[in-house]
Amino acid sequence: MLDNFRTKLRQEAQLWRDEGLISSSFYNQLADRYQFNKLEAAAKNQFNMILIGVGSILLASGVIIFIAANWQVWSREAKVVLLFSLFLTISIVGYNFWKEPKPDNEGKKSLKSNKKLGEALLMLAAFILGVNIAVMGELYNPRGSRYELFLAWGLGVLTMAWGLRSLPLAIFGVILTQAGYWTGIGELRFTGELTWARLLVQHMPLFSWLVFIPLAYWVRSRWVFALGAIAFASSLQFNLNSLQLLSFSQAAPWLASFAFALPPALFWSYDDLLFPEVNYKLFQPLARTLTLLFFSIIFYLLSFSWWWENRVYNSVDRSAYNTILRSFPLIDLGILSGLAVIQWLYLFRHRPNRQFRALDLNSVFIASFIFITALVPFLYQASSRISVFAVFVFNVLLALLGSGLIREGVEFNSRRLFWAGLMLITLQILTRMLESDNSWLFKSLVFFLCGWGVIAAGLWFEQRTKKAKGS
Amino acid sequence: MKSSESKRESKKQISPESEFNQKVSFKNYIKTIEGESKKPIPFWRFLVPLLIQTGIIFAVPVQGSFTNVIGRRTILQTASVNSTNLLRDNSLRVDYDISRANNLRRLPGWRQLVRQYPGRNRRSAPLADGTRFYVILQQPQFSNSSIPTAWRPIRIATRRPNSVPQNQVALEGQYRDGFITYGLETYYIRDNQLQQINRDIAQLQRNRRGRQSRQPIFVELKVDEQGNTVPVSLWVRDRNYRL
Repeated sequence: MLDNFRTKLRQEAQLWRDEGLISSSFYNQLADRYQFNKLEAAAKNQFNMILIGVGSILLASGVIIFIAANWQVWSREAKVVLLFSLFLTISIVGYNFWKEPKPDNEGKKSLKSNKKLGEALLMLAAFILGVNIAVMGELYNPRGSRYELFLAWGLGVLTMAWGLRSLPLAIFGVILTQAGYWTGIGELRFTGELTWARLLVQHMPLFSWLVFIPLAYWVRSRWVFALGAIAFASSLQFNLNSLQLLSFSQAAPWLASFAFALPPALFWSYDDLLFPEVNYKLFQPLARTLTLLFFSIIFYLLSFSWWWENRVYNSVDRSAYNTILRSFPLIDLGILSGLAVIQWLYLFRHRPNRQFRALDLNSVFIASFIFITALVPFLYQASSRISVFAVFVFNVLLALLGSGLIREGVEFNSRRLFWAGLMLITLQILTRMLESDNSWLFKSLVFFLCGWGVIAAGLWFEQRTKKAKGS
Repeated sequence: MKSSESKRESKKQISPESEFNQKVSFKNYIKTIEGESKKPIPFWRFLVPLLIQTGIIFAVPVQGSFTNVIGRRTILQTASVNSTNLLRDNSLRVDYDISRANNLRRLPGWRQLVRQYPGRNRRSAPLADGTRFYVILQQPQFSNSSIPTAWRPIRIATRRPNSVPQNQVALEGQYRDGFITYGLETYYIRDNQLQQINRDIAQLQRNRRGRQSRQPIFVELKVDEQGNTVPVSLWVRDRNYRL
């Protein structure tokens, strides 16, 4: 694209010079700045790269076909040696391309493409690592399960991502570990020995928070942060079976509370300044957005009455609950709650000045949300078991969250916040309306009013932002 | 008028850090940081992860050879042996006597297991799918020297026994749809060897036609204290094939 622009610019500049629009000295300046004389060399380089690319694809196909053709003939040892040496070669070659910006006269561009090539080769090596592990498993230990493969592969890729601070490897590693978690979570229901993979699946919430979040900081990527945070929150919910727990009568009442309150507590109080050598809040805005997202989802889910009544999981027998108790990650809860407390203390202690009360007000607001989210399931399970009360509280919380978002959106002229709040409230109204049995006339009236409200509010907001920008 | 006032107010309420945050975008910050840290990454930061990855790759075979050295030699009675030659993927699928839940039903410990993990239906699906348990096998007292004798299951345990006598081993199995898998069901074998095995088995079955005795096909394996297993060989009557 860039070269295309330069070629066109050269054509145009030559035309201007010939027409006398610009002086030839000016043309020379332009030529210097955009390096017109190197265009041919660059084009040649690109052509070479394409040829090399086609050649290497053919080479790779040759290798693959060779291996496939002889796979049955070779002995086990030969297969192992071959695959491992392939892995080693590609890793080392990739590293050599990736590591050192070799100073040569081609300048910065070839360095960049070298680095890209190295990164691609390292990624290929990560794939071949997986093939190696899979083949080893098949040859030597056919009883190993798929989730163990994914977890081992993911851990291997993650170590390399840590070492080289490589973003693609980090994302790949996080995805692989999550794939391992989701294929392995079913295993938790069964008894069995405590292998390393089981342990990892059981403590995935702790692992995600303590490994993925620093990894995100290490490779400076918001993608890794978001993936890690989502992995943490979802694995916590699924390991604790928080939604199911609500309908067990004898469940330890604080378990569900922890599952619901811990993620927002950790997200909201997250502060990059807790890491060393950082003077910039890299991920805090993202973490706070994730808090609001988590709140919206959990409030919406808990505002349905059927989680609170014993209807849903009545069929689940008692043994399921026993297995939850046996495998629940108590250590995770302890460590993560301690971390949350530290973060909150930091948040309130490092308030820069008394006058920045607006920020604190938000934090107090969120803190009370977290407190109520933890308290209501506890009260419900410990004493009253009146589902009406819990459902009412969570509906109020959902409405408060929606209107709070709208208010913030209006105040800071943020379109995203405003629309998110509006959608949340509309969703709530429509859901409650559809949940109850009303006449069709009433339903159509509610739909009509909602639609009218959304259009009116949206138009008003857009008008307002336009005015604010204009003034 | 009012809105501009509130805007000014909201600006005042922002702390210096977040003001810095609003002025500098994420991408610009990353760029400045990259400029600062142009230091090349030292070689060990590549070497250590590579060594760890190598360790992960070789963990499985090393474990296997370990089991091969210290494990106890055990012999399992097969119930059926099928070979497939699909897409040049030569594999031998083996089914054992102890793979069938019906053969384990009378052993001590089975009823307790069923009580602990009941299935959907008492008769057709007694155990919950996916249940893991341990089958304790014992060496037979009389053994013929030329043809090996299979070890017999003596009891079922829900947890792996801490220690078993010298003449016993514990195998971990997983129940599913009336069958128990031990991870010892599929073997990949080279083409010529597989043909040989097939010929032997076919001959054996011709000779045995009509007789009700058990087929003399056995799998020999090594089992260690932790329950890890390594297949060693396949016996077809007195002939031995390495797996």
